[in-house]
Order: sequence, then structure tokens, then C-alpha cells
Amino acid sequence: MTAATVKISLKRTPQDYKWTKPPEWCPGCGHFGILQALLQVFAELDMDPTRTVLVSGIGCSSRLPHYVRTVSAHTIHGRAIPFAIGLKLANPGLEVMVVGGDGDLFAIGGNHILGAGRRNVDFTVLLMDNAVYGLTRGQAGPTLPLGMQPKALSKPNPHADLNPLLVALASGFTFIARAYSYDIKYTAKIIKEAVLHKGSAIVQIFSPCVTYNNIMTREWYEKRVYKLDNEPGWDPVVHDEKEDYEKRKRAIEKILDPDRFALGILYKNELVPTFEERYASMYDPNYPKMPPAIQPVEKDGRSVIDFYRLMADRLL
Amino acid sequence: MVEVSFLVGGPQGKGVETASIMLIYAVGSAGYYVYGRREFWSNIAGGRHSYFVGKVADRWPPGGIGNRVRLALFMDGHAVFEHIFHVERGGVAVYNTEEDGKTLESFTMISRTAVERLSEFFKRQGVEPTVKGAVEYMKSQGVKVVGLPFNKVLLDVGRKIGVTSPVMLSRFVNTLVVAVGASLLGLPVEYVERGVAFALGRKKEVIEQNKMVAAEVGKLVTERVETLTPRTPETKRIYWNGNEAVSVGKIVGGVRFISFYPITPSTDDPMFAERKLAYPVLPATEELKAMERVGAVVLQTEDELAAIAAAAGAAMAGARSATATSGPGMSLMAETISMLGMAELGVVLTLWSRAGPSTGLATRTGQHDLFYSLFIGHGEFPKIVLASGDIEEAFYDAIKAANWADKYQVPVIHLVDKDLSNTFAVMPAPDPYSVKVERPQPVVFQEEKNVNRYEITKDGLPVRYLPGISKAVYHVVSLEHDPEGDPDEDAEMVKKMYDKRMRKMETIMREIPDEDKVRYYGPANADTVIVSWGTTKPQILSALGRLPGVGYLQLRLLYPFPADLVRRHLEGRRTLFVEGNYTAQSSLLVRMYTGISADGVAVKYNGRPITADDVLEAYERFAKGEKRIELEWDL
Repeated sequence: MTAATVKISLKRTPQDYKWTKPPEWCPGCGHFGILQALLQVFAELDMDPTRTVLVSGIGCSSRLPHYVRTVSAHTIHGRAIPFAIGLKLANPGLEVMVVGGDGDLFAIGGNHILGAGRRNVDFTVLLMDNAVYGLTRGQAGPTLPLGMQPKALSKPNPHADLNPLLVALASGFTFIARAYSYDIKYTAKIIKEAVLHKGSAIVQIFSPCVTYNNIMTREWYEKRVYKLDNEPGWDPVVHDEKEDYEKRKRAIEKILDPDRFALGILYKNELVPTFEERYASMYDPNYPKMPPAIQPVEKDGRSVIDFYRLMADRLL
Repeated sequence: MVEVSFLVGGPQGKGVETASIMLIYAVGSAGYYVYGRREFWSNIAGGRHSYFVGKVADRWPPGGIGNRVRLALFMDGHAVFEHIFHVERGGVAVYNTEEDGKTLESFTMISRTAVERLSEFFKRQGVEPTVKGAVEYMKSQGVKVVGLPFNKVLLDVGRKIGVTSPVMLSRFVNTLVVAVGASLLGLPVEYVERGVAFALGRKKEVIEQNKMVAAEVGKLVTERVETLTPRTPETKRIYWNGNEAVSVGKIVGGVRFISFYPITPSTDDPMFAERKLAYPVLPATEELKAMERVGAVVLQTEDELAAIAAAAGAAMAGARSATATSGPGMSLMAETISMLGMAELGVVLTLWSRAGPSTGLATRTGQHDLFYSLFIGHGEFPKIVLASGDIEEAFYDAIKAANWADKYQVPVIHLVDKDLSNTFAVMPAPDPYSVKVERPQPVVFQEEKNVNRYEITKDGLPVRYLPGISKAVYHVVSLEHDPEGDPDEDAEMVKKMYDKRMRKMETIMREIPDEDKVRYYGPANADTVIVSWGTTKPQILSALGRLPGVGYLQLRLLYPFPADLVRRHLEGRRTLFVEGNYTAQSSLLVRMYTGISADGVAVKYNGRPITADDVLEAYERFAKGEKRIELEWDL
């Protein structure tokens, strides 16, 4: 979303974005904090619930759209990102956001992270990271460290963990940030920045699973997290293309820190053209005002395509 | 009545395709109708053999492609061996005499199986295993052979046009064989020049050189196979191939979002849609008048999982959306196809099927994926599977598929194959406006409102709401759900929702016209009916001309299956199912839905399409009492 398109008013409250049914997560689940933060952001930005679309895959976190009063699509395991990209490119006027877990977005759906980064479609991905597959009762997620053995595992985890933000940065995401779900206010602040970012944004939100991850708990995270806001001189924004290399290097240094988990914006670059902008300049100048979902394709049942001009080079 | 079958063969990637296009366009420019298909290995260059086999006629359709051709243009000695049995008695073969002494063994890119088979044949027949020997054998079978020393001819011509480099000259071999072919067909050189210009596109200087080559070479041949006197065609005609016809059908049908992952033989379909961007529009509205052209999103995704998921998302946004793939790609799409059924989203999936399981025969044809397209996706859900019989039908069907996906909010699999994808034709232009583009209008509210996207409706169709357009808030979902679109596992609701979705099948069956379900050709009281589906159509229709009293039932709508109609056509008749797979899938399908068992099946699964002669052979053997006929011709 670009800042210019945000209409600031106090019309809607977080309550206005609650759907008709309550959440069905385990008591104390980290995801409650993310939901709360999201409702706050929607209210703050006065997002139009009829043009905001939440897209999810499968998992505990992917149930989130059912608790929110916006248009949404709860799709299948791993495919939320390409579904969301199709939706956004068909109608770039929509505000599109993906929510999902570490398994959904970085294991079964991992390839789509790579595809998304390369395109820089203007949308937001919220990674609700608890390092386990909660909905199937606690198997190891892709962010679970090597050798760790949360209670559902019969043996220590033989897989090493991947670093989702490093992958996202390498793929081309232009907004990389991290939050922690029990800090609702700060999570809301970061999500808001992600939504306002022009381009592909990803926020990794540590969101402890109170039922199956008995190791990476609230206490475990709180010993490790700190806010970048308190670091003197921290400026993750690429103001000039020449700064990009340096800003990425600094982001990587933070992202790779094994002991201390930086919360906040790690990297932000709005100088990279979005896929929508690339499409308009390379394919079709009318794309912004007449994208696929908006086009009239027939008039009184007759196709609007001028077949004879379209195929002029092939007619004999 | 003019009717000439022809073949152009040579090393893959060395101008066979260009030569075929030159020839097709040349005869097309002279007012004739042409069609044919391209056969190639799953390589780019490297010396494997590729060929084009087709038919020219003074009417459309030009009739079937048989097992042998009247005119064969061999670009190299390898081609002579490949097609030694493919030229008819009285036909003409053109070849390079400079390769006379080359042995069969020296052509390392001929399949070793073929080398062994031919060696044995030559030994038995007492034929010398050289190009010369092969040519002599063809002569003994009544084939007229026109031999030319290709390199010498090109050297002579090259001197006249100022090209001397052997590498440059070798690039004229395609034009050389086309010019010889055109002379044999009695086609004036100006038409060859049009073919050259069309096939070579923008390369001005190259076009001029090739035109000169054509003019000079054409003079060397005095024999005639036929005399194609330039004629005025009866109708506006179009040159295109199957991939392109379907691609354009989708565009005309309003598809504006196309996602794909590269796979043979489907990729030329979305790539044509991309190349044609932006599309000229009629001044139907003030807005369109001002714009002149409209765009579409053509998106190459990271895999087929993403291709169909992106199309699903675009469909939710309200765009007519489509993806195209082949068997391996469709396998990856299976889970999302099931989701389209449950979430009720309409996407067109053009399935350009190819032969064999796994990677199989990536560039060869087959009708192996009938059952796979019918039953793909876990669980039960409504979908539509429509199979086209020929290039014209495929164009119209693409428009219909776009209408149906949008209207019924189900996945629509448009089943076509490699044979059609690489069928090139100069044919009557279709009437692009004869199929209505029917677009359901979304409900639009004045004030923002929560709605039930999955309201229980009589006809099973969902009310149409679009994000950003309807001012409606709603949930789309892949889990079993309540009308609001939230998960619900209540037994009563599960059944209600299930019933509602499946009611679409009845609605679809009721609304789709009979002619889109089956087509029957031949006498109403036929004793025997050939049953088939897909691209066997032109060959069966052609064979039917020589099988008086035999009917042909073309199955088109394969899911939901029009059991009553099919039963009406087949009850009390003898049935012979003809199709390109091992298990005669359509015969099993018909038995499953109608209880009617096949009296005979003729199947072919060697990666080659069923020819008109195959159909005749199948009928003959069936009439003699064979129940399972395995067809093996290799053209």
C-alpha cells in the first residue's frame, strides 16, 4: 500500500473487524496477539473490509482469516502466496495480505517465497512462526533448531532450521521485519509499516505454541529478543540505490545472530519497482486502470476483442 | 478435386519447421487449404529427425492423413531411411544424391532400434544399406524419385546471388526443398516467395536471398505431382496452429489472467497470448474506444502448483482466468483442482496431453489422460471436462470453457493433445462472434455488508460477489463450511453443502446444449458405430467416407457424462471404440455410465496419432471379428 492511498479517519474500531465467530485457538496461544495487533492496524488504517483480502493456507495460523471481518480465502497447504499474487495482479486495487505458519510458508510452500521475492508484488506476508506443526500435533517445523526435541517428537529434530528472513532477503523481498506476538503494541506497529510498504513485505512474528512447543516458550523468546528501535543510528531504509548493498549486509548481520533476536524493521527498500509497475511499463500501459478483474470482456454477449485486428498478420 | 498429402523431413533444428511453414503458407497464398502436424523428438537440435506431414486440398477440411504421402521432401539421407515406407505408389520423393553412398550405420542419430529393424529388412530384401539402396527400394515400390545434388545446386545458385560460404549455403536447404516441392506441385514461384517471406519474418536480407534461391532452384525441376493453379478461396482464411487457436479462443472468451509453468506441448498456448499483448478491442464502450487495446496478465510462475493457485486467486478477484499444462504439470495441480471444486472458483485448465506415464514421450501424442482428467482431485466435486475434436472446435470450445468456468464456478478441463497443439492449418477463419460470451454479473451493494457466499441455492450456483467491487464481506474456504464460509462439520450442514455443490452437475447437464455433449455423424440407422473422442475426429470423418453404413459418435462432454444421450446413440448398435491409449478408456467410461459394452476396441499407444488409414484398418479387422486391435503405424 502506498501512503497516499490511506484515508485516515477514525470511523472504524478494532471491534468492527471482528467476524461473527470467535477464535478457536488453545488458551494462551501466541496467535491471539497477532490477531489483536492486526485488528488494531486495520482500524488505524481504516482499511476497507470489502477490498482487503486475507489469504491463508493450512495450519493453526491459517485459521486467522475466519476471525476477521474482511474478505478472505482460506486455501490449501502451501499455496496462499501464489493465490494471493493471482488475486492482487488481477485487481491491484485490493489490499492483499497472506498469513501462515512456518510449515505452510517455508516448508510445503517454500518455493513460492522464492517466486514472490523475485516479483516484488505489493503485498504483505505475516509469518506466524512457532517452529512446530500445531494442527497435526506438534511435528518439527522448518524453523525448529537441529537437535531440539519438543514434547511431541520421539527423537531430537534431525533437521537443521532454516532462517526465513535470510531466505526472504535473498529472494528479493523489499521489506523484512520481525515481531513478537506477546508484544501486541509493537507487533501492530511493525505490521502497520509492512502494510504501508510498497512492494513485497514479510514479517516474521515469533508466536509460541503453548501446547506443543514446550522449549521455545514465552520465557525462551523473552531472553533473546530486543528491539532495534533502541539501537542508536539503526536505519534499515534504502534511501539511495547505492546504499542497498550496505543495508543488506547490515540486515544479514542481524538476521544471522544466533543468540539475540532483533525485533523491528531489518530492511526496507521502496526503490525496487513492484511487479505491478513492471507489468505496466513492459506489457500494458493501461494495466493500472484496467486490470483483468475490472475489464469488460463482452457487450451484450459479444466479445469485445477485435479478432480480425488481433489476427491480422495471420489472415489470408 | 485437388488433394495432395506431403511430408517434409530433416534434422531437427535445421530448418524443417521453417520449411514446413514456407510450404504451408505458399500453398495457402495460392488459395488452397492445408493442415498437418509436426513430429519431433524431445530435443532442440543435435541431429534427431523431425518432420511435418500434411495435406493440401481445394476444400476444407482437406480429408484425413493416411499412412503414406504423395510428395516427400527429404532434407537429408537420414530422412530417407525414416520414411522409406511412407511414400505411396506413384508418389514422389525428393532427396540429396550427394548422400547416395552414406550407409544406414553412419547416421548415428537414427534410433538403434530402427537401424536394427531396417538392417534386417534390407538383408531380407537384398537391398544395399545405403541412401542409394533405400532410394532404389522406394523406386521398386513405384515411388518416383527426384534426386538433386543439394550442395552443388546451392553452390551454383550461391555464385549467382553472391553467397559462397558453405555454412551460409547450408542454411538454404530448407528453401531448396520447398522450391523443389512447389515446382512439383506446379505452384508459381511468387507463392513460394510469399511463403519464404512469411516464414522468415523480419530478416529482410535473408528473405531476399532465399527468394532468389527459390527462383533458381524451382527452374531445375520439370516433373509434376499436381498442378496447383492459383485459385480464389471461398472464404476468409487463417493460418495458425492448435496452440494458437486455443490461446486466441480464450482471449476472445474474455480470459484476462493466464498463468503457466513451461511444459511441452502446452507452452506455446500461453506464450502466444503473451506475444499478442495488448489486444485490440472493438469500440464497444466509450472507455474501450478510448483505450483501443486491453491487456491481460500472462504470468510465468515458479511451478505448476503456483500456476493454478494464481489462476484461482485471479478467479476470486473476478478475472476470467486460465492455465495450461500437460500431464506432469496437471499432476502438480491436482490438489488445487479439488480446492476449486470446494471453494467454488472457476478456472479453465487447458490440458495439452502427451504420451506415456512420468516424463514419457514429452513431444509425442496420446490420449492417455482421459481418466486422469475425469477423476483428478481428491473427494467428490463438480467439474467439467470437454474434449475438442479438431482445431476449429478447439477454438470455439475455449470460449465455451471460459463461459462455463465463470458461470458454474468450477474447474473446467479443456482436453486437447500434442497432436492438436502442433497441427498447423490454413483454414476458413472461424466466426469469432458466433459463441456468446456470457458473463454473470456480480451483486453490488450500496453499503458495505456481510454476505453468505455459500448460500444454499436451488441450482447450486454461488451468488457472485467480488472483492473491491461488491462492497461485500465474505469468506472463501477450502474446508467444508457453513453458508458464511467458515469451517463447519455439523452432519446436517455437511450434507446440505455437499448436495448444493453437487446440484451444479444437474444444472450443467441441463444447460449445456446437446451438440456440446456428443456429435453424431453418418447414417441414423447405422449398424456399426465408431465411438471416439478428441483429435481422432478428422481421421475418422475421413475414413467414414469409405465406410458406407457406418456411423461415428464423437464424445465431447466427458464430465459430467451425458449417459442418456450416449445410450440413445449406441443402444442396439455394434460399437467399435477407437482411441489413442492402451486400456480403451472411453469404452470403460461408456460401460460405467450406460452399461453398454464395446464390441471391439482399436487402440494405439506408440506416441503417434491415429491416421485415417488406421481407422480403415481397425474397421476391417473388427469386421473380421477381432475384439482388440492394436494399431502400430509410425507416421
